Amino acid sequence: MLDTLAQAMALVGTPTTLLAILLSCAFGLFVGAIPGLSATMATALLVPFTFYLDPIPAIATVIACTTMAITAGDIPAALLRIPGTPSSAAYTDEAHAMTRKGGGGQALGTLLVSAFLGGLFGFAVLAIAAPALATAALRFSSFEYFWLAVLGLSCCALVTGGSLAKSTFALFVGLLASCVGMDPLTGAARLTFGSTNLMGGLSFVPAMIGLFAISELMNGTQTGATGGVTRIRNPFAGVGTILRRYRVNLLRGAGLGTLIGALPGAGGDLGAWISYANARRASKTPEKFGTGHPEGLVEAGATNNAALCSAWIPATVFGVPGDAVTAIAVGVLFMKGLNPGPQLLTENPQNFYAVILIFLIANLLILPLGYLAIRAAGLIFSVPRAYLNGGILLFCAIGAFSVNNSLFDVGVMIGFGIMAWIFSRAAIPVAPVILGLVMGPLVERNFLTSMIASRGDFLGFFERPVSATLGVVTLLVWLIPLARIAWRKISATRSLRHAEAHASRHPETH
Amino acid sequence: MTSRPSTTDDSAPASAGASPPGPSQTSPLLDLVIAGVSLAMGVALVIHAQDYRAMIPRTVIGPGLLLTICGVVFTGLGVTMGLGAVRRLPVGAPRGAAPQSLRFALLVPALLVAALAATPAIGFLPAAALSAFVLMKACGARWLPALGATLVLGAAVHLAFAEVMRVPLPAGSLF
Repeated sequence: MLDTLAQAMALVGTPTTLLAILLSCAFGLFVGAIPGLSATMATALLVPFTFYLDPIPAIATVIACTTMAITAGDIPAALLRIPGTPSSAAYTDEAHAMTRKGGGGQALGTLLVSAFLGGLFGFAVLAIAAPALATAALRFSSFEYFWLAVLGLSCCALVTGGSLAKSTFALFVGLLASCVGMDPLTGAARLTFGSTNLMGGLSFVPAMIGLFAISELMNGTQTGATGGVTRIRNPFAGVGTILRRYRVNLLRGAGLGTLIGALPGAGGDLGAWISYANARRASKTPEKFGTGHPEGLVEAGATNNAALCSAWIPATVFGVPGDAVTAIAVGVLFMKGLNPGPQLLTENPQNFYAVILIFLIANLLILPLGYLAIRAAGLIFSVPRAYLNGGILLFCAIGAFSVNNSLFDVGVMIGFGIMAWIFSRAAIPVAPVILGLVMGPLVERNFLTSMIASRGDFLGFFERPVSATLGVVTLLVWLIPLARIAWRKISATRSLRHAEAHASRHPETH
Repeated sequence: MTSRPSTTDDSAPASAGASPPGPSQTSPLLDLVIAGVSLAMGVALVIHAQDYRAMIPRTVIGPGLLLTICGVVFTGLGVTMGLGAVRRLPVGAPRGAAPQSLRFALLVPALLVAALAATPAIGFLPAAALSAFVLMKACGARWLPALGATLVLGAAVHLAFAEVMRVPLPAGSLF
């Protein structure tokens, strides 16, 4: 074991690998911090460079870039309300609300340090429990995946606040948008209206830019905002106190992220949503959520990077990617002859440990590089709002186009932007729309597969122990708030009747 | 006239995120329109979903299943939100956006549509940069700084996307 670790350290400690890590981190920070550019895009852009590198530096570029891009995705989320990644969309409104209150630096510092600690936790789990966890995760069937996805969607609908009906409406708008294009099992064209552009479905990145950035622009111009200057001095100021106060959230977020990230096919994006919902539900002050409260940021921030690390468990040990980024990484591993799978641990364990050491280094670099990126990003707010609006519009248009090199996607962005603006007028949350859009295919594919397996018997979803547990938890997640609403209405009616009866018995006192 | 708390506010307090009005401040008329859209969309979806063949005979399992579920939920939500909005109608006055601010809000998508329309002639990047310039002006920026900012942003975007990332930005017939 120690020999293997020493060999791994020797592989990672070469100047080429260290330089590749540093440059990829800087690139990931740059791309992740630009509104409209995602971590997936950053990683995909690096793949051509890996052709010219040895296996370990090649995989190091992918890992380092991803880690940093996902962390940097929080910067536009907090400062401009434009999430860099789907996972940061879970707490974009919270972080932006903190920025509006003048705590933008603290929001980013909290997210950064939580991500760092969550990443370390994920690293430890990846190093120690990778094979065991991957084996357990592989036992999951479509039944379990269906419930897990529905649980994530339910948490999202219930956590956003406001009217439950409106949150559910937003969630189903997202699910409906995910139906556009070819059906995942039969390939039947749905809601395409004869358009070939719609056959491949709606890309979620332009939709995300529209939902968050374009609607924000529309709201910003509408209120005539000229943009106050928010100086971000020391993003770490006060973060220690916050983390001490919410240490349980930190641990819970890291643990949850590790578990969810380790599930092949689930991906790390789901973790932050469930984690944020969980933080709110367990909080002593749930009413503060959405108003710029750091509790949810600590938990979801830790989840993000922990899930990012553990998503590599199925990717490296069994070659089953957890999400788009790890899918790219698995491709790079194959391309470089590092064939992910059990043999990576049995035949070339030094390569496996080299991969996880790269994680450690990338995680350690999060703090200094993230600090510099946050300080630099603070300058965004010294730019008058008029110029910032123009810049955002330009980046949104080009960013939406560059996803598929399609002008149609710019149209998708405009459509979702207008929809989000109308939603904001009607106090309908937009976050569930994006999760519905992302998770829709996963939910549908697993639901249909399970229904076919159980020959149309819905009870089949409760026959396996883990599936049944997840199913019961999901149903409770919906039933408890509904029961609470019903109880509140019954209590209100009773009090009214009681007051009327009292008034009729004692008319003289009124 | 003060507006009564919304009857549709049936869960936790509203988030004070970036959404401008809280649930209790929304126009009941807008809520009614959204409920109507939800209801109409729900019915249309349920009808449309019948066009897809089931994968297992005598069941609903197939491409139309999720559409049917969405349709049923939209119908139910349309009724629920509609009833809530109707109850508020006599009390809450319709509160739409002021005409001037509505014009500002619509300017953003209008500029993007204009950029798409101008792309075949002048290319995507110049068209998008021109839209950015108009938005800057509309937000109160001065001519010269706005022009400078547009040029700098355009050059930066060209460098980052077209040169470094090799994104094939569509060229126009003129440029």
